Amino acid sequence: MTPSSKGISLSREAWQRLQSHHLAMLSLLFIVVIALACCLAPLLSSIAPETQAAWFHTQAPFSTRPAVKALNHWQLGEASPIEYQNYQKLLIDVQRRDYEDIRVVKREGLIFKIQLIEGAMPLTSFEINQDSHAVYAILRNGQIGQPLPNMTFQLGMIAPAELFLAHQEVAFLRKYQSKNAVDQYLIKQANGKVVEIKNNDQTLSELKLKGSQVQRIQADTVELLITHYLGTDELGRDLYSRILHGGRISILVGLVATLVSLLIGVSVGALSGYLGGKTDRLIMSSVDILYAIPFMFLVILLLVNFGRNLIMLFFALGAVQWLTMSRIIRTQIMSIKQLPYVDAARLCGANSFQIIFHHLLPNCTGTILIYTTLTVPMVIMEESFLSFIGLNVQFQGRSLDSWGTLIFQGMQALGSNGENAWLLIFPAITMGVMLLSLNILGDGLRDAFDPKLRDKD
Amino acid sequence: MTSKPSIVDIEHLSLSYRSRQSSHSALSAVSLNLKQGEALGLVGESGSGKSTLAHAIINLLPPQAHIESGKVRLFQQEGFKKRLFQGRDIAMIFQDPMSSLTPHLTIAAQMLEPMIHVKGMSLSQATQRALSLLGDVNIHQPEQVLKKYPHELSGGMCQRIMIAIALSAEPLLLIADEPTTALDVTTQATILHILKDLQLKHNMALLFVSHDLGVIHQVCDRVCVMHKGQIVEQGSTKDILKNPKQPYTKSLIASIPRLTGPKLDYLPSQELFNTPPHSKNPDAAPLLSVEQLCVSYSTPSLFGAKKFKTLNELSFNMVEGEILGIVGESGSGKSTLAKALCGLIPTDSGKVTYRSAPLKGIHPDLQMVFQDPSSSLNPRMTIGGNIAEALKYRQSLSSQDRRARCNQLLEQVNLPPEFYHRYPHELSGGQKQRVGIARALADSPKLLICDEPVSALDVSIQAQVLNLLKHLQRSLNISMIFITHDISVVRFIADRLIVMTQGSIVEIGATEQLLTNPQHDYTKSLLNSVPDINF
Repeated sequence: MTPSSKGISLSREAWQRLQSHHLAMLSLLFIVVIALACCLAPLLSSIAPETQAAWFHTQAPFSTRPAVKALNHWQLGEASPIEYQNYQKLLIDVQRRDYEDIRVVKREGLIFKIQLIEGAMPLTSFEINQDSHAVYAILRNGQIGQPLPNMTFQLGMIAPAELFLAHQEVAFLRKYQSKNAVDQYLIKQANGKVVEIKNNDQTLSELKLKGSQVQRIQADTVELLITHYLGTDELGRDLYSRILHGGRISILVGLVATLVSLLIGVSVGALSGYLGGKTDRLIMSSVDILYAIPFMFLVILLLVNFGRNLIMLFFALGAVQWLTMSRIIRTQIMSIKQLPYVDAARLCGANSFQIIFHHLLPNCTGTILIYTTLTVPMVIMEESFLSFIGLNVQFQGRSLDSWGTLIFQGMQALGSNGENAWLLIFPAITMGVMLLSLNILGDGLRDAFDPKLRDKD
Repeated sequence: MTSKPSIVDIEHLSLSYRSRQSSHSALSAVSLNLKQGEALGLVGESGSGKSTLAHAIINLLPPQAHIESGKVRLFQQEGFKKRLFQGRDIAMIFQDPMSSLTPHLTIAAQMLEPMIHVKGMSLSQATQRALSLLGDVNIHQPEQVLKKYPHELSGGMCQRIMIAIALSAEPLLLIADEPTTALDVTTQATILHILKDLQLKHNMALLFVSHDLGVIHQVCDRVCVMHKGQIVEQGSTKDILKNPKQPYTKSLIASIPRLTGPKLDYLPSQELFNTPPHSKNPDAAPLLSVEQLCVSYSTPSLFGAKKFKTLNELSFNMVEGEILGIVGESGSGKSTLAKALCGLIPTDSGKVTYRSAPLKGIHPDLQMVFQDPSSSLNPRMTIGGNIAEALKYRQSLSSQDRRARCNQLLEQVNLPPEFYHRYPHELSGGQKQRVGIARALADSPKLLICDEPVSALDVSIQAQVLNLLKHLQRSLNISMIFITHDISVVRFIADRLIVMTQGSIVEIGATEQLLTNPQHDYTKSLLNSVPDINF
């Protein structure tokens, strides 16, 4: 026995036992890290999850792009867009729009066709002279590739190797009307206001730029770049940010629906178990009847009928989960209420309320905690299922993406050869780790609260 | 004696239980020897290592157990080949007969299987042998018993069948680990008798593990007294009971309440009390009078409820300041009576009068001390919280006053005030029972109902708690109803005695008179079956 006069309560002892369960502690760490990251999502990711960069398309993890919006507007004398207000000087490289795209088709090693894409006008020969017109290769994803070396080719000639990528039969080229493929704009700012806009030597009064045109943006001396750590989806939305923000919805639904089920389940279970007799049979029969209803069907009906808002989802999922909780609590209460200390409390003059709240429920905390930890992943899974079948939550008409939605969209965007696999893998891993950790933690808690159970197996 | 072959030889066996954090020693340098045809008793209180020793012999130790040093030699062979001896040369009987038999197999299946597999008998041979074995353990109509399932039989029957199964392989060594602890006294007497007979008949070596010196005395020639993992004293049972040499053995023997000999005012134990008894006035109006009390349990079924009578027209009186003992075997309805008097379960009919007013429901003057000290305290509350229960609900005391009263109560039951902040699981059984008594006393009750308050405790702790209860009853001048299955305990504590069986009272009278001159047959058989250490 410890020499200190303060006793060690059962909960503290359980916590100490849990600490020696390394796997459960690791799971707890994962849960805390993921949950914290989701809570602090706006701090951890500078890009809002709904920000689109459609021109950017699906990009692999760690790809970067210039930090611009879809539409950017500078006007002399007016305030600069908020994200650039702290800089004195902006240098923006803009892709020129005066170009034509050319298609070159190779057949059996010879040039078979040269064609202007616009109007499908056939050409007989094509000259690349970087000193007068810049010519670039266009990559498969639509991005501009390397400038091509100077050369001239015509129909029937042996196809030059520089033109065609390995195993490709078709090459796309972009020919600009001038020597430079890009225009450079200079914007000078003072106190957040635009003082001067210059294109080469020309002074402009306003500048409107599409995000897709901007190739590079340099503020003072730094290049402004956005890095997509986990890549982007087909609308150019940042997957990292979307996973963090989706986690908020998933975890929120998991927690609140579990709390709803806890509240209903514990009250119904405690009441039924404590009163016993006819009341108990009545309540438990109703629970049995509710069990018989195919609950997913019920949830879907509720969501379709009453709208797909968050409150409805909490209620729908919670209203289903409480059944099991109430059964477990009822059984616990029934066995605890026969213990002598409950009789002793009754002899001491405790009323039913005091017996339930001082003696019965505190002795169920272990069970409640364990079952709660196991319900949260169940609810997260169910919400994901709903999102997966397209019944994701909506808020003010806007759909809120959860992990389930991301997995669903990732699966759709997988591509024919699975080349966009990261869109599916990252949300799935995050959700998998969270669910596994919650389940392991639940098991660890069970062992911690009931060490006899662990000794037996 | 010396010519007989030695069955078990243990030399300086030290064993410890290891967990990840700590290790504690369970046996230290234990040596013992058991020869063929000898019955050796292992006696000790809980935690003394007697069961560990028994399990070490047949290599049934849990994985945490670690043998530090020493040797176990069986049948004069080094070490043990586990499968070789189990079932054929060594058999074991456990404490709980109900859980030792598989509930979903018939007795026949469980008895015949080892004979067919181990001995290679045919089915008819095995059945014949099973019938004769069942006859050996005094089971009537063995043919019918063979077809039954364990739950259809009583605990005593199951234990007898366990003995029959154990004997079926004709073992050289039979280990009995508290085989009668879960049984009633009369059943216990039969089982002990059968065991002793069969041991002599088959010339087996018997290792009998028990906490009860009286039981050991009936069965064993030699006894080893164990304490804290060591053998304190060993020798012939008679010698040790008559002239114990070690102080531990002396105190152990002294703390057993006796059925014969002078009636003691207090049992010898560490705390000494000398409160004199209050004078009672037997002609005064009774404190509590019970008339024609009936209680039944009902089990709900589809068509109405089935009723089982547990108390059948009980009537008795008790006067202020007396200790009324109620004795009876399990199922006799004594605990039901306690709960009915306290108002914890509803009564069917009859009248209970307390201080000439009818007693209905829960009355603050009546308090109860429960049997199992660990489940009678709320494990989530501190000791202080548990004791303060009664003060919290009925009295409006300030928290300081409540704390002061708790400390006073802790002092009354001889517990240090630091225990206020402790939790029940940090206390030993005896300490928990003291807390239970303190809680019952908190609201200054006039009548304390003790439902088997010492049956879950070791003998020395039992003596302390009995002394404490007697002392408190005298110093606080309260009345007490003391329920127990142990006649020796009731003789020590009670002024008057009620003997109950099957829900009815068979005999009421002053304790000494009733025990020396029992009238009813049931009382007589009860008295005869008590294993006593006086001879």
